[in-house]
Amino acid sequence: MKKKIQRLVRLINILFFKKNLPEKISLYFHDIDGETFKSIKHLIAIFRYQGYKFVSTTEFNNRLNYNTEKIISLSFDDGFKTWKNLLSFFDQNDITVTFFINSIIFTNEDKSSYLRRIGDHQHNDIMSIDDLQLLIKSKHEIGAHTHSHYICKSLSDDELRKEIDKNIQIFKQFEIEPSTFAIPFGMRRYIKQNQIHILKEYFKVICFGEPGMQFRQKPGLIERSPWIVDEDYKFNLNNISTDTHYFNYLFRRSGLG
Amino acid sequence: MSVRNAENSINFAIESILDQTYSNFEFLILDDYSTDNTYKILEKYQNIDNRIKLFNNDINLGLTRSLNILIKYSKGDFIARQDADDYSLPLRLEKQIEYIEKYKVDGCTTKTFFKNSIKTTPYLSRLLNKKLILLYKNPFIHGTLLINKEVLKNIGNYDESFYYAQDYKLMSDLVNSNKKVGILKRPLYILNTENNISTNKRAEQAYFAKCVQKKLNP
Repeated sequence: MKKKIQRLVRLINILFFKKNLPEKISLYFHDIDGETFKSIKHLIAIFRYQGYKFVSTTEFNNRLNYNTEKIISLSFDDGFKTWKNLLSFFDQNDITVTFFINSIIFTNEDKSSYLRRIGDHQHNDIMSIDDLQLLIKSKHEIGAHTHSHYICKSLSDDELRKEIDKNIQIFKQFEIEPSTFAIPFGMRRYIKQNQIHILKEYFKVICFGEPGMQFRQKPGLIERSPWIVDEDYKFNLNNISTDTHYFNYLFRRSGLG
Repeated sequence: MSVRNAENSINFAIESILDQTYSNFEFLILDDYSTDNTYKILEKYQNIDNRIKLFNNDINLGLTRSLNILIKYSKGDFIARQDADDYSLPLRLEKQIEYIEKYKVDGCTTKTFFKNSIKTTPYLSRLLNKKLILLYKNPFIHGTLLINKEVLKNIGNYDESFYYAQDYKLMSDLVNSNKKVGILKRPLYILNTENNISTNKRAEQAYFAKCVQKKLNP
């Protein structure tokens, strides 16, 4: 029943609020299996054919006001060992992306609840310090994603600050100074407005993650959309070309399911 | 694929075919006497993928005659078209072959996206009687055609008296010979309509299209 309602809501939103292909598109992924890798390769080829350039999140944010320029930022959340498989492909194709990483990964803390929060992953799915070193050596951007991936809203302001401070502190040991941040779980309903202000004290760019918001990009506040690998180009195109921000603000849910 | 002076788009078109999920094909490309770097680019691809078979014309013959040359050289049972400035989405060939097998048709085209747009074509004409709609317009996107080679041979391949609108003539010949050609609902192709023969030679296209509609020789 829930799925049927979601499908209906999606259909109505696409019918009434589909616009065109946005010039500024921000997409995000998590773990990269073989199919996801193929899908990323295809989406890069398809959008390059249509004149898009691929840039990091910071660069995307800096170029938001370049009106006619068509740019896409790709980002990857949490911290998976499979990310290193992308590096040579990105290198060959001169593509810069952003990796938003939780710092708990690089500690001896118990990670069982963290692994559940990022989607029932196994310990050996997450990246090692050696994998992180590979990312550091690459030209890609590394952004913060909190220390342990709690829903921000469930944290007090102090707890959120601790999550950020710890993230930044651990990154410092690797000489990473993040200026971008992605909210765990992405959606606006998982963060309070005043927490966004707290995050702005630490970072230049805050990234959200829900479909239907690509036309609402603002400097400092980047709207990302997931690219659904199991769905085809048309489905994903609808996700990025439909403006459901009224629905998203009103119902605190994505109008595209 | 026949290509002439497409150095800026040819790599996308080629890679979109090489990246198809259906991979059992030979990719015949004929350079129709390009005067830019197209041939050099084609040679590069020929060296990295042995499915590519490269040919070239010593003079500019035009699309119609070039396509007939390629059909003659081809070894497969089916012919799939691709235009040098368009892009095939990865599932295109797989879904078209599935469609032909499932619906027992002689060939099919697909809906397509326009480049840099979310709009698709054909729209309603996809659903109408093909013989009827062909009297007014061609609902089939030429670059997406996949057709049984034997069926093509039976109608005499492309009609070489049609320098332009050869696709309209071909589809008209096929449908009027009661060959079954369907159009997939799913868009599996991205069509470029900027600076190509259809937009730059509008008057010529219109004249040849009229000849198809009125069943006249141009």
